[in-house]
Amino acid sequence: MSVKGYFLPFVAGLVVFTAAFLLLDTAVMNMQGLGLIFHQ
Amino acid sequence: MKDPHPTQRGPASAMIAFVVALAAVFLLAFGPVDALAAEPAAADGVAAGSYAPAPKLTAADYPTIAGINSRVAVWIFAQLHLWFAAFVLAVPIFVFIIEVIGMRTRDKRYDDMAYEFIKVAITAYSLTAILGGGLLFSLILFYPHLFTYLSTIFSASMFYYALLFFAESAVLYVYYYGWHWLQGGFKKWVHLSLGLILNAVGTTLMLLANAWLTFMMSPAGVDAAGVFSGDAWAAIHNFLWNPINIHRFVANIAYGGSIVGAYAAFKFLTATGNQEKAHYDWMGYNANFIAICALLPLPFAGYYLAAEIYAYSQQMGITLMGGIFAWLFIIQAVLIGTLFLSANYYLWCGMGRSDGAKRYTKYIKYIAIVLIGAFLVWFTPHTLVLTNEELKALGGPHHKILGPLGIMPAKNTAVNVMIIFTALSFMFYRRANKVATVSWVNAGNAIQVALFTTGIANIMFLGIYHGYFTNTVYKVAASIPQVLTTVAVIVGSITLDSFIYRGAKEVGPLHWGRIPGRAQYALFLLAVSFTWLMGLMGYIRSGIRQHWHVLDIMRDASPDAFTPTLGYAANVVSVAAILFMAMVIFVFWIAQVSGSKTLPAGYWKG
Repeated sequence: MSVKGYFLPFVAGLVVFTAAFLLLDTAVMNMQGLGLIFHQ
Repeated sequence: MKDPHPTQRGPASAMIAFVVALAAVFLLAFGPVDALAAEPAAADGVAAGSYAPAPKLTAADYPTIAGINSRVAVWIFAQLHLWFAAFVLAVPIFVFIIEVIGMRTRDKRYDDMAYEFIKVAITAYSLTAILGGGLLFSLILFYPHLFTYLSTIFSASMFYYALLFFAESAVLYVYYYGWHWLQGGFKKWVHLSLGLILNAVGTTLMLLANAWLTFMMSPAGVDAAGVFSGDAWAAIHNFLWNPINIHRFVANIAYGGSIVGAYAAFKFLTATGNQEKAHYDWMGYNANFIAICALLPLPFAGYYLAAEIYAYSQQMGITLMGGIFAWLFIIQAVLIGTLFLSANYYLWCGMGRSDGAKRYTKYIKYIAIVLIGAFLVWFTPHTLVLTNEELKALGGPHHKILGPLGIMPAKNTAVNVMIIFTALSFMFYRRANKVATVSWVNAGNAIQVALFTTGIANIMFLGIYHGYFTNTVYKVAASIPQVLTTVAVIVGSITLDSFIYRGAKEVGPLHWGRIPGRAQYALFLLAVSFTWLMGLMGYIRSGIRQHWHVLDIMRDASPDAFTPTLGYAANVVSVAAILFMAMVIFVFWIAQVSGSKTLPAGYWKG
């Protein structure tokens, strides 16, 4: 398993998809009038 | 296989459809007012152009006929009619799609398969009409005042329903009997257009019938006393109409796929030649594919329906999942888990058709572990039914460790994970016979792994954090990004896969028919589980009205106006499911014998 061929794309994917899913969560929760992180 | 000698089922079915529709039109035109003259206020009200309130009934208003239990009679007729109706409405939808695929690819196998699917449906169509007639007559006989009240509000839609029924029958027969006549060029387009019309009419029929049943749950177009405003559209477009429409439309496709899958399995197991086995294996695979495609979004449609029931009436919502019916949801979880496991099992067995599948079989055990884990979470109950001793020993009605798994965020998380892993099974199946040729295959695979990893992590984060560390409003709201994450993972991975496998080499020809017989029993299990599930959940949906015919408007005063025990309800549904399965076996048998031909030597002259 090469670092360049497999590991780097995997890490890049992790970073990009984590950001994308958190953005999705924030947007959808906000659309329902709620924050992603809970506040009392 | 082609059926060059169609049998004479058509005229018989047409006759049944005609008689039932004629009876319905007759009863709608003359029945409610004349036959039930005991309701002078309602009859006079209609005649004067204004409407009477919903009648206040007593036990004496419910006829007793030959000692038959009214509720059970209507229940079984309604359930059997619904199963067949779901099947005959769903099959033309995917027959249409398969016909389009056949026209586009010019692969005649698709056209033959579509014809064989519709051949099974056409026999079932007669039974749908007979059972619809049975339901109509049993409603009129056993619940005359309810039928009068509903038919006053829905008179126009019931009339158009009867007319559409004629249209459905006419188009279906031309579509089926004209299959081999309308072939090639313009004629094929005419045939395809007939399929489209058939689906439009069938779906409209379903939407109308859905309006009647949802009106009973969330009445609209009437005041608090049940006086109809005269706005038929308001009554049709009631609060729960669209949630039921969406749920039933998707569920019907999944159900139709499972029933034709069972047909293909039956034909596979009874096939004698390899060619025949290969054909029915291919047919079973396609049927399972249809069922899975519709099964994946189905929990979301069901969740949406349940959320809307809560939104309309918290009392109904709590009765649904927090009251007496809650334990049926445990059975529901077991059955849906069975559906996912059997659909996946069939896919895993099907990988044996390819010589290249060995590369992926090592991952199956991990998928199975995840599916079973999610399955266990899904059917873990929140509150246990215990004896006093057990209660004391446990320290309360909830288990300390497993109790938290009994609430919805855990179930939502489990079902989303199950759906993602089912999609993964299907992805492995698709990849089994291919070898990617693009230079960036490793990078593509790594990105896919990252997509699945982050998607599952996000679903867990939403489920655990919002499910257990925030308040209820967050728990419910977090289910939406969970669903969207699942959709994103499935769509994203399929898109990426299609690029990775663009121009891919095939390992070898697929060996259709090279599948163990036990895989066919997974298809039977799929059909049986679906049937039972629909019956039980349909009972819950109807039962949450409790002692109301029309919620908060028309009270049920019959001796059966109580919620039966779960065991009793499950027995009624099980008896109905056995009756349905017996009828389905009859339909399969009819489809089988319609293709058989006997040449009686020496019987005919010349």
